[in-house]
This record gives sequence, C-alpha cells and structure tokens, in this order.
Amino acid sequence: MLVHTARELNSSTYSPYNSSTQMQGNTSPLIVTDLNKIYKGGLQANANINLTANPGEILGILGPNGAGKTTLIRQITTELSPTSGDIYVMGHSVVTEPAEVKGFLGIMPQETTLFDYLTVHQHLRIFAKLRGISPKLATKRADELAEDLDLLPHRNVAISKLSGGLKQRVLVGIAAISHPPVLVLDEPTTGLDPQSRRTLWSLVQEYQKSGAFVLLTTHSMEEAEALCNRVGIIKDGRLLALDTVDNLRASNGFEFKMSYYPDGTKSKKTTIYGASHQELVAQLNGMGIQQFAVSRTTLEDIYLALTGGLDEFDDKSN
Amino acid sequence: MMTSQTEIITNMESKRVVTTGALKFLRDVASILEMKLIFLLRGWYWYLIRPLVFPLGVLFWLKVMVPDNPDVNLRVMAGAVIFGVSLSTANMLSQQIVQDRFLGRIKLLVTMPMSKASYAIGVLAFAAVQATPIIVILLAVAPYTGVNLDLTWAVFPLLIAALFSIAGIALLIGSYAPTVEIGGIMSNLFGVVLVMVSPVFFTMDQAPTVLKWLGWVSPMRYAADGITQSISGSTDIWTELAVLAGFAVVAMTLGLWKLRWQEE
Repeated sequence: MLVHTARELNSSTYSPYNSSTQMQGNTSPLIVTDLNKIYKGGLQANANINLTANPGEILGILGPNGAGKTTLIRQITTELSPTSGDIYVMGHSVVTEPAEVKGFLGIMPQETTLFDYLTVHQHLRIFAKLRGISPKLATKRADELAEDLDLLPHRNVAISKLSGGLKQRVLVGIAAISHPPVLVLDEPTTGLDPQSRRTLWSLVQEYQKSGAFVLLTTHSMEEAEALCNRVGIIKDGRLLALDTVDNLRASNGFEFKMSYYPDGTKSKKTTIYGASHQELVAQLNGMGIQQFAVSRTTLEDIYLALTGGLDEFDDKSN
Repeated sequence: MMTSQTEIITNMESKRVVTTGALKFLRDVASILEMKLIFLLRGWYWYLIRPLVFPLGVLFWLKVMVPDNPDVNLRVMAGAVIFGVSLSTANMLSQQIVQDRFLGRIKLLVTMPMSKASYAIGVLAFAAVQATPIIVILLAVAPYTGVNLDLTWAVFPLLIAALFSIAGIALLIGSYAPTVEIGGIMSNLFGVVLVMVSPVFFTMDQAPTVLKWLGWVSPMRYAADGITQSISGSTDIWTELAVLAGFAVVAMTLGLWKLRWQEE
C-alpha cells in the first residue's frame, strides 16, 4: 500500500532532498558513536552506545521501562542533545547539523497528540506542507496517503472521532508523508488492539520494502520478532546486544529450551537452556527425567536473560 | 498508466518542493496559521462575540456614568479597543500555546523540519487575524456611542505594535506556564485584570500611586495613550510606539527563547 506512494515519492525529481543527499548505497542511514547522555540531575540515561544501521532494515530497540530507549530516540530525532558522542543520520551529525538531519527523518513520537479539531485530510495536507511539499502537491499527497493508509472513509472526519488505531495510522502517515529515508517510530503500537497492531505492522513492512530504514522501539517481543531484521537490547542505558534474533540465540548459547517438573508433580516448572536439543535431552536423561517439553527459545527468553529477568539463564550461565 | 500520470505531475511539481529558506519559513507560518484558523472557524461567532461583549459593555457603562465628556469618551473608546485586542489575543493565544505544549501537540510539530520562530510567527499571525474584526467593529460602532473619531494614520502602526506587544507577552505566558491551569490564570490576569487595573480606561493622572507604578510597566497603558491620541487627530505617538515595539521585541525574544523546541 505505502509502497505505491513511496515509489512515486522516491523518484529523484520529487524528493525534497537534492541528489547529493539522496540515500546512497554506501551511506549508513544511522550511525551512533560513543553516545552518552547524562541528565542535569546526574542520571546517565545512555552510556557508550555504538550502533550502525543498514539501509532497508527494520531495527528494533527493546528494553525495560526507563532503560534509555526513548532518550536514545530523542537524541536521534534531535530533540535532545548528546552529552558526548555523536549520531549521524544519512551522514549528517545531529550535534552540528540538526536542521539537515530533521529533513531526513520521519518521526512518530511517543505520547504525542494529534490536533483533535483537524480532519484526517487536513492533518495530512498541512503536515505535508510543513515537510516542504508544495501546497498543490500536498493536497494530492494527502489524498494518496489517505487511500494508502485505508483512511479514505474517514477522510473528512475530525481526529477526535477516530479510534486509537486510526489515530496511530494518521501518525504513521504524517511520519511517512514525504517518504523520508529514515523512519523513527517510538512505541508505535502501544495500546492498540491486535488487529490495528497488525495493520500497522503491514504498513511498516511496506515502507521498509521501498528501501527505507525503520527504527522502532517496542515493549512487544512479538512485534520485534515479527518486524525487525535486527534487535538491540538496552538496559540501564547500555546497549547489551545488537543482532538478528537467530544470532542472539546462537551467540548466547541457548537456541533451545526444555521445560520439566523436577519432582514429577506439576507444582514447580523448571526451564533449562542449551545450544542443541540433544545436549538438553542428554542432560535431562542424566537427571532421570523422562517427561519434558522442548522448543526453540523466543526473543522474550533472550531479552529476559540479557536484562536479568531470567533466573534460569543466570543459573545456567554460572 | 496511473503511475506515469502521477510521475508527470510529480515532475512538474518537484520544483516547488522547499525545505529551507525564506519560502519554507513563510509556508510554515501559513500552515500554522491555517491550522489555527480551522480551529477558530469551528465556532467563529463565539470567538467574535466574547471579545466584543466585554469592551462594548464597559463602553456603554462608562458612557452612562460619564455622559458628555469628549476626552473621557475617547479614552474609553481606546480602552475598549485595547480590551478587545487583549481578550482576543492574549487569552486565546496563550491558551493555544499552553494547550499545544501540554497536550503534546508541539511534540508533533517539533518532528517537522521547521523552526520554532515560524511556529511563533504563525500563532502571532493568528492573533492578528483574530483581533482585526474586533478592532474594525469597535471603531465602526464608535460614532453611535457618541465618540467623535478623528482617525489618523498613526492608529495603524500603533495597533500593530500593540497587537504584537500583547501577543509577545501571550507567547511569553504560553512558554513559561508550568501547567495548563496556571497558564489559564496567567492569561486571565494579563488579558483581563491588567487591562482593568492599568491606566487604560482611565489616564495616568487619574490613577492612584500603586496603579501609576503599574502604568509605567504596562504595555496596555502605552497602547491606550497612543490610540487615544491617534483617534483624536494627533500623530505624535512616537514614544508610545517605541515603548510598545520594545515590549514586543523583548517579550517575543524571551518567549521564543523559553519555548521548548529542543529539550535541555
């Protein structure tokens, strides 16, 4: 859906960016180098974060509440200044060229509100103009986007009368309206019902197919696993891991998990992790346990292990 | 076929895509103004009636109390204009900014490649659009209330300076207000109370000592002094104009500086 429009917007003649700043094959859409953020009260929200994003990927940032995800996002979007280190968006520094960086970003901020008195079409049209699209083309673009986002039936409806899912779609539309090469979504599906969430996932995936880089933060492991090519896990301001889910499984040596009841009753379930299921079966057989359930570890398991929420993993690691 | 048509249109339009410079700034101002005007048009009659009712009421009340004094009539007329501008601009503008801030709407605007100056100028333009019909109506009804107007050119720069100094202070309130509720109190204190206690409907000579002090620092008083002269045939308004321009520049600068576009 969005790809149709994205293709048109991606044409070299349309893009608000001149040819020298177009997304190039060898330009990383996002590079974070030695990033530190210390708030006035002394709280270190980000500590020595380094990451490099690849063009055309969806990168998810996971972490518990207060881990520093939104602080990282807000530095990328130039809302906050780093204490030290730098961030480069399409090769431009957020510290020295924040205005240029803004031009490359489509941002869906967390806890923002639409203008409840404006209609869907008015939002898309006015924000298209604020992105630099000419007034005449902004109207056309707003109509196209309303169609692509399946918002045509609500075209002239005031935002105050829309459901949460539809509002989120409008916000995605505003972020994507000029087809920026970098789309930043801060917890885009929080509070949405499963159907609305999946609709948003489709929109994000369609957007990714057009070659754009998408950065999103989420609390949903399901969302990260379904959408993201790579995930970064943050805790206490530090980036603990950054890789594909498969590589995170492999690198942490627990691709499989087995659950069993050690005393034979169903009172206390125990889970162990290992690099192969043969290894785990042998381990359980050695303990005389015949009944167990085996499965591949999920992103949630990895997440909990890395953020210290998985005692079993800690035990195993020790 | 559809795509090729779109591409043709797209190619034609591409030259109009602007992300920086004066044209972008003006377009951003126009977009903010449009956004606010859509809000205003939802119930425009209420936004017109409210700033008219109080000044017209005060005008009538003072006419009854002091029926045949041309000097008082002119002063009251000038006061009514300032009161109308203050009600339509200071209250509305500061509340709009406070709401944009605390409802999270500014967060969305901040994601756009636009400056906070264009946002501020956009809301100021909105204030000007809102105040204009109020001023026109009040001046139009003046002859029917026994006020003998002798309008000079000086009324225009004075009204603009008064509007921008009041709007600048409204921006300051909108930027500084710590909560929506306190923002409402501050805008009421400035938009209503300050007009009533500053030497606006009365002159500095008539004011008690405490209100005289207030008169020295209140832009409302300079606006009322200047407008009184400019609607009575005098163009010697340079002192008032300079003071109002100074108020506007200082308030706008402080308001813009304080308006959060990037966090600390």
